[in-house]
Amino acid sequence: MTRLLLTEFVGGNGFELDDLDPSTLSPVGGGPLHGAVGPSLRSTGDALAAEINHHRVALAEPGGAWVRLGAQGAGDGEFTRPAATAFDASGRLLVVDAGNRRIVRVDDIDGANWVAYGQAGATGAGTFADPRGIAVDADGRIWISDPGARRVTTIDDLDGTGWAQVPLPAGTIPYGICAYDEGVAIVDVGGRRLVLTDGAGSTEVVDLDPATWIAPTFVTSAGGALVVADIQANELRLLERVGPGWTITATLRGSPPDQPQPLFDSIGGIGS
Amino acid sequence: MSDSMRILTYNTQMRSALMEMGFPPSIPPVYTAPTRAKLIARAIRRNPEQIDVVCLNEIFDEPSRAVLSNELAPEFRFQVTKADTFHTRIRSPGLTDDVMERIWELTFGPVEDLAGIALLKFEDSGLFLASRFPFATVPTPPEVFDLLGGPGTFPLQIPVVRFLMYADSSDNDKFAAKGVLYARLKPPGAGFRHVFLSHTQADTEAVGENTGDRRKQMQNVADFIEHCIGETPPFTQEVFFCGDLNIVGHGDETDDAHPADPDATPEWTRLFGEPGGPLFEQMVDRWGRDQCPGGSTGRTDPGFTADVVYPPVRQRLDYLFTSASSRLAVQHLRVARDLADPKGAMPFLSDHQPLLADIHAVSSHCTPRTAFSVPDVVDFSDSRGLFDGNVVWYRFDTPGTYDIRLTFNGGRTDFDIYLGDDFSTPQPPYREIVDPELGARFVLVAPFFLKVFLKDRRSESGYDLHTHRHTGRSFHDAIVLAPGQRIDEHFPAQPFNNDTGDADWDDSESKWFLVQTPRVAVSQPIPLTVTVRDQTHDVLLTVGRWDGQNPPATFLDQAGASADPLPLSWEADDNEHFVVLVQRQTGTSTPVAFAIELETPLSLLLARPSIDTTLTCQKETSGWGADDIAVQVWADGVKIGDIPNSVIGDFEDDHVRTVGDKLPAITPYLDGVEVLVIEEDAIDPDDVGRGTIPRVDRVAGAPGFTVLHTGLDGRVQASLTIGVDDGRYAFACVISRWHPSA
Repeated sequence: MTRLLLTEFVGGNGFELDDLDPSTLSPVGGGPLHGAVGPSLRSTGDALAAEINHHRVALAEPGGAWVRLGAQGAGDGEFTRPAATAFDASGRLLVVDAGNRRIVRVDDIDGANWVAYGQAGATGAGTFADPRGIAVDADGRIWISDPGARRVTTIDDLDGTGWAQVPLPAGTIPYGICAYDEGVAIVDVGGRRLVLTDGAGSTEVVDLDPATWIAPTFVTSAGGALVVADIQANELRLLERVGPGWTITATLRGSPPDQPQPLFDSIGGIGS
Repeated sequence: MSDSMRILTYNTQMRSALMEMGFPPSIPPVYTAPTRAKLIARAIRRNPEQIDVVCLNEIFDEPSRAVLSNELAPEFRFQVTKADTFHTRIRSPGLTDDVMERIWELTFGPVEDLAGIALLKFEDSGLFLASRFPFATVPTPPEVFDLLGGPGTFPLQIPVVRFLMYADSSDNDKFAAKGVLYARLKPPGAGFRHVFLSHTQADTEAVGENTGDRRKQMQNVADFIEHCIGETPPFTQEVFFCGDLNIVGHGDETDDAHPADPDATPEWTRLFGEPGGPLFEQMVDRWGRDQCPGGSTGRTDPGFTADVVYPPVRQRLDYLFTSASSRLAVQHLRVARDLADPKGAMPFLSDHQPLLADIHAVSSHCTPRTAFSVPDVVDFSDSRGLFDGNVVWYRFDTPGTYDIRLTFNGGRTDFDIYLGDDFSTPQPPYREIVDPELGARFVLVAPFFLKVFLKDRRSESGYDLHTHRHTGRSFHDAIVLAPGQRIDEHFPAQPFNNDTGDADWDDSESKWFLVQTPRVAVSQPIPLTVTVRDQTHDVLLTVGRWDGQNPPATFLDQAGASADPLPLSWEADDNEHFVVLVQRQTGTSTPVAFAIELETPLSLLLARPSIDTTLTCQKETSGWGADDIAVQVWADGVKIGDIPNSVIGDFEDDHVRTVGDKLPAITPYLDGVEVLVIEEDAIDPDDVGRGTIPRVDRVAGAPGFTVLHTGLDGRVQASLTIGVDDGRYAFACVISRWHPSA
């Protein structure tokens, strides 16, 4: 069983659920956020999400209410359109501060020990055009997807050590990203496919059938499987290896708010 | 009770947040939808024509659906707010509920089992119907009672509403439950109105990509109609079918519709215009096969209703069909541009324009096709009665300057005038002139059509219509010269007129013409040339200036010789007034014929009706995210439009924005109009696209400028292609040499 954290982009609510079981869907944080995107879960059960429309991040302890950090801007303690979050191996908060083209790390939601890395650009080390996803792999490497620059880069720490650009199949527009196996799984929103890579030459491409996928965007790992969010279908799909390929073994579709028992109205991100 | 019924079909482009959500996830365009919904709903409610039935497409956005339903409900109490795979939401007084397919089956019998394809339908059909007329109902079958529970359902009678999802669809459309909605309406005191509404398979990159799907869908519609009304053609009942069918409309009398090469036969003809087409026997496309079939009929309005990203970039995609055997006439079918005008409040209301049909029992001369043909006389009078929403059309085949007066007894009665190639834009009076005795003045090309109608269709009246065509016999009877419009005139073989004090030279035996320059500022002198040609005998051509208030005119220049052509040129400022006299030189017993024409390089950019001027993103720039577009418009080097990104919004592929409401109504120019489309992200020189709208006389061969339609009055509807970096935008506009309001 894998605990997932889902955020609504439109409604702004956060939900936890186990695998894709709708009966386990339960709200997080006691209320909606504003453009809730890029959620992640800490090993303690804390939920973290970015409010892209209000330029903040919010953290909720299990059963607690959202606690916010940030205001619009480009200085310390400020974000512009934060797009994704993660926790590093030490449990510190990582935030993709997309509008400021940087990655921010703080010890916790109080903002202590603010560290930022990155500047605007599309080539070279330490630059980002429009970073949108972040993942921390099993070795603690930080992976950042930058669809604006059409690349994924890695760093070992926020001082930029170990910077590398990950080789990707031609034409890839990387968006959603999550730790997977020895590396990451990346959603290529341009090619409508998944790219599984360890960054060292081992790459697997999983094409997603256009007959059933409209806009696969976010991904998170669920044990050895992957949960991929199709934001236009408003559906989470569990992909598992079956034989040589990947097969959808479960789905959970959101619903518009007029349904008698609405689930989520949209998907702003998925984390685990 | 009345046979009058006014039905609107409108693709409102209220795509859901999910459909609009792209990369990066952001919703700047989509969440205009609830606001647009409110504006559209209020415009519909306030429409003076009292629309009875509203049929909408692309209502996918749930908040917008609620806004539309609630805003329309006070007057349109009977609604189908949603039609999805297996349920249909009904709203009627005191009742609101989803009616499941199971109930429809028990009530009306089964239709095709499509459960297998329903799993991939992430969106509903987008169809929405709102009616002033009640739903027809049928008794609830006993076996349905068990399925209907609690308050808010339909305890005794079930509305006759049903939805059929199409089995065949492709591309992104396959993820929506595209289909055809049926509602049986029962106006008080009148028979059933069987209304069918659909939005069929779209093309994506070229016309005709998905003809196979659409043909199957049209066959579904044909079968479904017969199933629902329980008849085969010819129908004895009144059937209506409307919606955005994504089929490029043609006129039945045009060569394009029936080419010599059968392989070139367009989709429209194969489906609607020739025997064997799925709807040919049953239903008539009232635009292309009735009101505006084109060819030599004089009714040649192409009826564009949508901007698209592939050629032709303006298309007629929205339709109103009625049964071929209908006893009702579609008195007037028009693109209701006023309903789609954002009036500066929004970047746009939709990428389509609404189509409004005025339907009534057949009566004499009640449609443009059956219009009373007015003989070629100087003065024409007619008296008739109107009641309960019927109208009378008159057709004039003689161009000219007309004074038109309508008097009436009873309910307020009015008239509108339409050119034969534009049945949607009433012609304004010439410079708002109203002769106290003869009525409002119009300068018109032919054919034009005059419609007399009741302002309140529930009233009745008797009216007297009088039209007078100017013959140039006096200063007050002068014929207005519109640039580019040749006028053929003659002197009779008898005395024509005498010298008057209205000109400070001898004006006897003269035809009077009028030239006035626009009442909008022009930064340069306006060259004017009047040319007389093809004269059968010598004439004298004289130009005089007057003050625009009262004669006399003072002599300015004169040309007279046996030359043919015989030109006379001068320059003027804006809002100047001239008389042009053609004086025969051969006595009063000799008839003299001649032609006269005014030429000027001055052109006008016409931004009203505002939704005719649009900006469409045909190909987004390849940079990440939407294009942050701003627009500037410069006429002869003077900025006339400065539309920031905050007003016009971001653009992605296919986005259409209304620009006309953000520009002056009429802008004159002598050199050209430059349009700048500016991509504001990380701006460099490549991110500023430029295109030039040429003068009307330089349209041919102008780079990037594609003429979509040339009007009878010389106006040019066109599209200017503007490259922005590696993206491509289309600026649709209307230019003309002249406008009666200018």
